[in-house]
This record gives sequence, C-alpha cells and structure tokens, in this order.
Amino acid sequence: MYRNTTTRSLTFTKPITFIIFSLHSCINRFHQVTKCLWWAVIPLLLLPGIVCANVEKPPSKIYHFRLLAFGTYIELMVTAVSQKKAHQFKQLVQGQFSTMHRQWHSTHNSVVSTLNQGLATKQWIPLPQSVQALLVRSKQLSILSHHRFNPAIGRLVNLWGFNNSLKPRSKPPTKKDINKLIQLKPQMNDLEFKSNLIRSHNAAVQLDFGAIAKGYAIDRVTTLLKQQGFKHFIINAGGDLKAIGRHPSRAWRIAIRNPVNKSQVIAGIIINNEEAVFTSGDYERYFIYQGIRFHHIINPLDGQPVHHTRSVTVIHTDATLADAAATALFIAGPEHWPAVATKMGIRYVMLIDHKGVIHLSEAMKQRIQLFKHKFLVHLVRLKLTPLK
Amino acid sequence: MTLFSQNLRRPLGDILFLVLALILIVSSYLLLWRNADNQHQGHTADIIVNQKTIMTISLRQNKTYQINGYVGLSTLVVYNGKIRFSHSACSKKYCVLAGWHQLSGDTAACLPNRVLIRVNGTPKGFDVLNY
Repeated sequence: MYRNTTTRSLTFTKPITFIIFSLHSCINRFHQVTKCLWWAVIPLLLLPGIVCANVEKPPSKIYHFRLLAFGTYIELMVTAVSQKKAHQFKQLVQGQFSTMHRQWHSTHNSVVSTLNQGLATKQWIPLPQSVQALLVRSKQLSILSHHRFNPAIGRLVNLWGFNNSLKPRSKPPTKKDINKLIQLKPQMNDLEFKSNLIRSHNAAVQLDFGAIAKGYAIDRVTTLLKQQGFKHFIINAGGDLKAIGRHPSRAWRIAIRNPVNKSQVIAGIIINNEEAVFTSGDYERYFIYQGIRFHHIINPLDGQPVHHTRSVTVIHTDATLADAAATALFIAGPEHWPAVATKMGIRYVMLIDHKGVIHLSEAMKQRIQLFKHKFLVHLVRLKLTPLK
Repeated sequence: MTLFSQNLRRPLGDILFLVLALILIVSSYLLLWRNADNQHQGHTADIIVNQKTIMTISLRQNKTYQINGYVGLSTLVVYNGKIRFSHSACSKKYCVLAGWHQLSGDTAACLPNRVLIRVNGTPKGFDVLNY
C-alpha cells in the first residue's frame, strides 16, 4: 500500500474524478464478486430441477372447511382430491363428529349420562357398544398415567362448573365439598367389565371424557377417511390436530402458539407423514375470583386447578394417547412429567411451567424449531424403549 | 492521475463496496427478520354465526360490531389490528375472558351464542396453528 498525506492532498484537488474512479473500482470489485458467486450459483440453480423431477407432485389445491362439534370449532384441510371428493370428506367428518359428540357428552341426555346414572347404583348394567372401546382405552391410559389422567372424576369437574355450559361458577367450590369428593377416590380401576356388562365398585365414579374424547374422535375419523382413500389432510379440533400425508409441495408445517403471549408463535414443527399435535393449556376455560385465576385442568389428587404448568404440547402418531398424555403431563408438572411420559411412551414433549421455563424432551428438541422467546430451556432425556 | 492517486482509489472503492454490502445485509435483516412476529398477524377476520360466515372484517380499523347470535347479542371490538369479544349473551364469558386475538389462524368462540371469530390466514410459513 502506498498511502501518504501528499497523495490525499493531490486527489482532493479533483474530487469528481476521484469519486468516479472510486465508483468504477467499486463496480469492478462487484463484478469480480458476482463472477465468483455465479459459478457457485449455477449448480444450486440446477439442483431444485433435478430434485423436483424425481418427486411425485399431488394436485395443488387445498380445500378448507369449518364446522362446530365437540363444543369446539373444527377446521378441515384436504388436498390431492377432486372438489366432489373434498365435499364428501367434509360430510363424512361432520356426520362422525356429531354422532360421537351426542354419545359421549357427559351432561346432555347422552349415552354417557345414562351410563353414569347406572354406575352410581354399583349394579351390573349394559355397556353400550358405542363407548366400550373408548372406556377400555381410557382405563388403560389412566393406569399408565398413574391416574393423573382420570376420566372418573366427572363429579369434581361438575363441582367446578367446567362441564355444564349452562351453570356458571363465579367462585371456587368450598374445600369441604372438594375434600368430600377426593376422599371417595373415584378411579378407572373401580370399573369392572364382564362381556357386555359394566359395574362400578365405587358409587362416586362419574365418567367425563373431556380429556380424551377429541383425540379418540380424531383417530376414529382419520381411520375411516384413510379407508375411503383420503391420503393428505389435517383435522384441527380447536387447536388440537392430526395431520396426514403432505402439503402439495412439502411436509405439513404446524405453528405452536405462545401460551403466555397469544399474539406470538413460540415454535414450529414439521410433520412426519402422520402425527397428532395436542396442547393442554390453562388459558382456555377459566374464571377469576378475588384476583386468582381458576382454570379447567383439575388435579384428581387434590381437586384443585393445577398452578405449576402453563401448557404441555405432545406429538404422537396416536391422537388418543396424545390427548390423554397432554392432560396427564400438565397435571404431573415440571417435576414429575418425565416419569409419566416414560410410562405412557411419549417421546415428544414440550412443557412450559409457571416460571416461564420450557422443558423439552431431547427427542422434541430435535423436532422443534423454537422462535424468539424469553424463556429458559431445560432439556430432559427420557429413558424410553426404542421404537419398533 | 498519479501513481499515488490510482492506488488510493482502489482501497476506497473497496470500502464503498463493503459499505454497500453492509447496508444490504442490515436492510435485509430489518425487512425479513425484525418484523417476523408481524408476519404472523392476520389482517382480516371472519365472523361466523351458526356455522355461516356472515361477514369478513378488516382488523385495520377501530370499530365495534353487534352480532345477533342464538341466545342474544355478542359485542365484538376491533382495535389496533386485534379483535375480541367485549360482551356476549352467554353465562360463563369464556369468550370475553379469552381476550384479544390477532394471530393468523386463531379463533374465539361463544359456543352458547354460536358466534365465532376466526382471524384469517395461517402464521407465515405454516399450514395450521396449534394451541
């Protein structure tokens, strides 16, 4: 380099020439850089063409439908089908969901409400075919979750007023009333099955499938849809969903809402062919009494809403399991969720606790893309048996 | 032009090139990443009553809507890009407690009154919102 003050004084005597030459030099350098980049870019430009040539593309149109069922808003997306077939898809889902809701709702004049009346008598009563499989699966998952997921606490849910949409509760029930129900210890273990009969050994057992019905319904409808030839679709029931197949040009992508700031997306997940994503949060159904928020996820052990957790997100191929596990892990909380997840066979878990710490299973860490947030992240290794 | 000035214009040209490159990097960051959250916000919302979309409204306005539902009136407030139920003829007011909604794909429902708000679209780059 030949720099000295004399040179500068010479140059400044012709400022316009100097600027022009500088710009010229800048453009030259730009040409040199772009020339180099160009040789690097050519193979990159060719790559998508080579890749796309080997990928089978389904038709691009995605059909969207909306309906109300299960006390929630259901969004349907289906692709790689004709318009006529897409409408068949909607009709099929609507019919199935309406039927299941009528059968399983615990407070309307439903199959489950009749069953609950019979269980209170502690006598053998007929077990309706329409709820048999759901009941058996619920009992199995309740035991696996160490009874954190407990559909036998229907009375407790009613006491808090989170089930019956007509009776509002502006203040929590008394501790005396709660303890009276807790001491009776209603559990799924109290139920006994004999061919097509059922009885309860505990008159306090009242079934409420609120923490599993949505997942079970989605699984049943999904199986039916796949049998009908639908390969690429999403069923989103009030934010809990199952995605099958692919978007027309890529894998399905799911955004997870921030439970603390609802206007933000906290994370993204890419679906592997067929998976359910379920989130249990404290933000959906609640009331405020004397400045304290009482939400709808009740701990069956103490009868109180859980305060150590804000939300739990679970990914699993089985929507029924994902639904029940999201509730069970929410109740288990930041301390006990790894043990419950291991027992239930859940690999992908994200729990956000009341302090704002994100607890991630290591497998979930590999799957999830976390966006801008102010939370601490705590990684947990689960000792699960390898996938078969 | 002397030898000195010829040698001087090259490093200054390089500096100019680097400054332009820096401006490009900073501006593309500001354009693409700084407003990443805003890319997930919806601009319109559908008002659905009894499973039928009765209107699509812009969230870029400040306005109040009175919607006739199954059991009575629901009042919806649109303010500063957000929408919420401010009142509804239901007993538990979950819809009112749910607060503001602005994220694309977000929904709020007053089920007893069968009134539903859906912020249109999905978060940018995603197909569906889980919550």
